[in-house]
Amino acid sequence: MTDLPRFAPPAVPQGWDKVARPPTGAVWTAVEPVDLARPDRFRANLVLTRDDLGGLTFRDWQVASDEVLPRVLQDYLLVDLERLDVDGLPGGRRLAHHVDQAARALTMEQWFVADGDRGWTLTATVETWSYDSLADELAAVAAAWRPVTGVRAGDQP
Amino acid sequence: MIAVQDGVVRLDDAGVAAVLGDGDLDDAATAELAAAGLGPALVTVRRPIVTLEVRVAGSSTQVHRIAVDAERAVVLLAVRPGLHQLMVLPPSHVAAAVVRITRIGPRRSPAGGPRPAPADAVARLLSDDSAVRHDALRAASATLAWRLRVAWDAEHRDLVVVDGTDGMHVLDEEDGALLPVSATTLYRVFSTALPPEALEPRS
Repeated sequence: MTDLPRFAPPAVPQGWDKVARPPTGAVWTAVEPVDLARPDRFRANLVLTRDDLGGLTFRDWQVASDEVLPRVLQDYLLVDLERLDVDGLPGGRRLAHHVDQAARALTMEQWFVADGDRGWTLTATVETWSYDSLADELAAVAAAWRPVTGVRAGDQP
Repeated sequence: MIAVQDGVVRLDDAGVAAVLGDGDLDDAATAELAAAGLGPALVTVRRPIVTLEVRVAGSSTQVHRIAVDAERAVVLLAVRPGLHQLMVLPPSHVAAAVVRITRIGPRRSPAGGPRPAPADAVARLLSDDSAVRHDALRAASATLAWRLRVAWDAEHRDLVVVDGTDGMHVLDEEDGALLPVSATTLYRVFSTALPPEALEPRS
């Protein structure tokens, strides 16, 4: 069995599903339920990832993120970026717009924090037209998330 | 003038007026737009569900227009005085287009709370008279001001923001105040500017 990192996941938003097998690169994922009337619709999701910082400072880690995101996300447009405490440590929040392969307008909101050599990032992605209706709940989930102090021995996805 | 070259549609002020239905759109221009596949865009501009107008005032003034129906958003982007570009987007992309036009983004946190707005703020901040505009911008400690006007039927709503070294502030006309505002808050406004029928994916 793969040696997965111990981690403390955020709460699953009301009515969403926790994904049993997160996609490659993610340690935890939750998604909006399928709309049975429109199964092809984009499902809003929350993805938790962990980076090994390899000695990078928090600032360097985030500068690298700012350089990588426009390369990997189509029509990437940074909207907001701020420092804020995450679980009592200096962290931050990033809001950006991008477009997927189906030309859907997506809004990405990230909360991130460095804990020593571990960098935790919680990424919410929603269709832009529905961002405002989900923003407060996603912000509440992020505010309650305890990636550092909430880690307990034996926590597994 | 309406010129289509390599898929890029450029218009002068008369071309914009003609597309908007305020001037003559001659047969040649109509045929050129149709040949470029922009016949439906012309219908959207003439019969929109909602229109957005962004007046941006800084070193100069520019007016950008977006007409939206359930099928598409047509942007008449002011490139420089007398030159505009017509672009067609999915309606759901309008929020990002307004972000680019207003140039909102991460800013230093505003230094303080609300502050008084300059007298007669809207007219002066957005004035075409550069002396009047610059005087108002200085009074607002800003280098840029913009007004987003969202209009539908016979109604409209305005949002006026000033942008400067100490962040962005939204104008509260009733109280004559400038209130600190984040890019996130403005983005939420932009993402809800259009009615659901123009945004939600169809089944």
